[in-house]
Amino acid sequence: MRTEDHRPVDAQSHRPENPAADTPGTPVTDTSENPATGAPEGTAVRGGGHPWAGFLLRRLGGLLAVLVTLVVVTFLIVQLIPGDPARALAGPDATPQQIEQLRHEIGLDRPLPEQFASYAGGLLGGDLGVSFQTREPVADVIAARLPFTAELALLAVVVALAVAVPLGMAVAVATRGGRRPRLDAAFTFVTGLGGAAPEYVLGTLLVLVFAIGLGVLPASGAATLSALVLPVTAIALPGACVLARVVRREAAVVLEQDYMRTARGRRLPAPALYARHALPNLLTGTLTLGGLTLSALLGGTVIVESVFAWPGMGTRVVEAILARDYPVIQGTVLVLGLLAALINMIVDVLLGLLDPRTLAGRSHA
Amino acid sequence: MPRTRRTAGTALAASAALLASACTTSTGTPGDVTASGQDAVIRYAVTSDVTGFDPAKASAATDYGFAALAYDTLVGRDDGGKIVSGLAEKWEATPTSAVFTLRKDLTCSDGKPLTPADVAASLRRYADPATGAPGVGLVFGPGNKIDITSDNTAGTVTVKLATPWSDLVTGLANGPTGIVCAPGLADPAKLAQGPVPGAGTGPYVIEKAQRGAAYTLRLRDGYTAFVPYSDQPQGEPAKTIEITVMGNESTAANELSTGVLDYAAFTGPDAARFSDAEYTKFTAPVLRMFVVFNQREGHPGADQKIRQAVSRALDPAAFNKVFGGKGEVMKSFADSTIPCANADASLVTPADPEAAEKTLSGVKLTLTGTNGVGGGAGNTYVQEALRAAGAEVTLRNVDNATWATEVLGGKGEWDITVMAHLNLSSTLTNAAVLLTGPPPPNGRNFGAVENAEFGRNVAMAMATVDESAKCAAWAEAQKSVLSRHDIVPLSTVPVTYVFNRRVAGATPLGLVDPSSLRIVKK
Repeated sequence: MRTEDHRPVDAQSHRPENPAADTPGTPVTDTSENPATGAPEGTAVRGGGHPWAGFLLRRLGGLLAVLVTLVVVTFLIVQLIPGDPARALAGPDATPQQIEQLRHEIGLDRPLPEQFASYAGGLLGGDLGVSFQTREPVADVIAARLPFTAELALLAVVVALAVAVPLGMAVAVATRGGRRPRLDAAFTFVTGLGGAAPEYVLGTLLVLVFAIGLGVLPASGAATLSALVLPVTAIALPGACVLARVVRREAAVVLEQDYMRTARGRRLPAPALYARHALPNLLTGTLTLGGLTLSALLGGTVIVESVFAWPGMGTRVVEAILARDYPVIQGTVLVLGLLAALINMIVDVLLGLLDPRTLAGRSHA
Repeated sequence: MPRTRRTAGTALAASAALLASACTTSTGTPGDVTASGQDAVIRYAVTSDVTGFDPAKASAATDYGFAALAYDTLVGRDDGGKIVSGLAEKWEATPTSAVFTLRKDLTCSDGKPLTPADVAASLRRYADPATGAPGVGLVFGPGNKIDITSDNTAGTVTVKLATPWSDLVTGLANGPTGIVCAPGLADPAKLAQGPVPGAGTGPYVIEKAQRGAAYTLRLRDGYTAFVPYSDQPQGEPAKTIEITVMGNESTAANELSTGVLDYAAFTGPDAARFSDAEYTKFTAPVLRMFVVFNQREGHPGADQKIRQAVSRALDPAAFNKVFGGKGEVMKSFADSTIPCANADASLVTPADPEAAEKTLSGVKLTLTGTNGVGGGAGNTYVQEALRAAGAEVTLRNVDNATWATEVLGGKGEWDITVMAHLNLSSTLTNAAVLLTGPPPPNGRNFGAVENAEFGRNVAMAMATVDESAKCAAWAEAQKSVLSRHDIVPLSTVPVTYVFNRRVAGATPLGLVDPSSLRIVKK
């Protein structure tokens, strides 16, 4: 088989399909095609220059802007939370004098600009500060909690993608051209239900069946590998359902494209047909959604962490907010914000690899 | 802030942090530690992480629990407020002094002898205003002059006070007064963050700590200074205690029912999942709820008639039902587990909504309360009861920190609040300090109550160590706040302790002391 057989037939065919764009009257908002040059993929960038250089510069600039905004906004936003941290920290039996003493110890009696200067100065030196409540360095708090949440979030997204992509594609293939309407209806119903199921209901049901009823899996904790099964399932299932619907929708559109018809006409075997020709064209939306899901999950799978006593970030941030533990709130929001920006960047890079014309996006970061 | 939306949902968990597994004192009877392996482990859950390991700075129920395991107090407190031995085997007290004779065989957690001088040094550090121990005023009397000395030959520690404070011996049973040995005193910053080798005096030392998740504590070899509680179960103390942080009570209930945990405390409905046939259940008050008025000039609560009308509009029994009806309807600012609490129902204003309506009609009130207790359901009851009596009530249901700042700290505009009183020292004084003295920012009298008779009677109660004279003075004190309607008693919010059949513990004053936990059946 020749190399060009593996590639889409023309540039138009490789356009990421936006389901909305199929609606009659909806303008196709694709930014990737360069009508002036009609240039082949990989070179479709205005103003010459290497496409990756401009892209990376834009993204890094964006990242820096996100960082600065996060530092300033998180510092200011904690000041807006009503409630006095020194009082929350001192406990119910503290006297006003002890509360003032504590306020001085944690530096909250200094003017706001001075507090910001000290905070920002610390950040430049890599110091996220010390928790008001537990006196632990915030970096330690994050280092202790983030791996648990990351483990859960990454596994959940991987599981969701691993389930959603084959399932969505299989259903799209099976129901192509209006075939098997019952399967179509069942798929829509089941994934609709699964996608709408709140995580705490799923989590509680899973515990009820597998931990309390059958006794085959632990009901909580993070000590063993088997303890991962239930929380990952509880988080991955709704995500998988939503993603499967997106994959199915995109795949249905891709399968009707001319290049697919051409590929089928060449009697390519099914794996090559779907994996090499259909898959890259429907991954755009899926990956974007997957990346967003991952960012959201890192920010906190609070309810699932609570149901499974999982020592992750979400519960810690909520504790910090309730205790008015400013350094922990600031530190975690900063780190999570940066991670979200990084994940978005990674997704954009992946999309750029899949479809280089996305590198020339009109909307700069 | 992506998570503020979720804070409301988790406020209950946070309140549980406030509510569950409090304890005031130290330890139980001697027992041979012969068991090994899994059989010698006791596992239980706490609803919030420790905020710090320095007993002097303990401010939350979980902190008290760890303090009770790792640091012994001079004495213990049993049901009815009876003082029992701790590190001290004998004690003598006057209203202005106490002499404690220590047990002979005491050691620090590194095996070195614990001397009277060590004990005095630890207490001096606790009493030092620079330490900032929150409960220090409850132990020695607010602002009192304190002199602590020791006599190594006689084996005694003496505490002398400038002004009388008869809660002194009682106060020295409080967990935060737990004695810290020299290595801990030398490094308070490290003491706050985790175990300092050789600092402990209690039966257990922290062996492994995973902040926010799990802790493993090990029983010290040769430890014998257990507190002899009257309901101390016989059996072996666990060689190892494993404590897991589970913010969600349902999760703890799941683990208790699958046998992973031996004991857990519940403030919510999960306690009902456990049958009496298979589990031992024990319900005790954990929060004391009562109405306090802002009596500053210009606020409706400054008028005694309005306060009386509010008392008449509210029905404590109905308030109790809001929280499931398992609490105790109170007759004072404390419940019946607290020594000298008023038991005379005739002193409490009976509910009379019709009479209330005559006074309250058209009165505008801002009710600020914490949503940390049952989502603020009690506040809603008070709002509705006062509305039914014709008052125009604006409810501000805020989280615990905001409520504490605005109401207890005097930083907000409020007319009336439902006080959720934790009373970690289980004394009337713990509540009385909130109703006497200067208002914030100089004192803790957040409603600016001016009741000279109450103050006089509290001072009398603090000036005698004779229990009946003390209770008589407290009776007069409580009578005066009730007759002036400075408070409106509501009910307690209970916690239910559930033990599996393998483990049992003593519950002095209605609170489980974790160091009294014993393995009663293998």
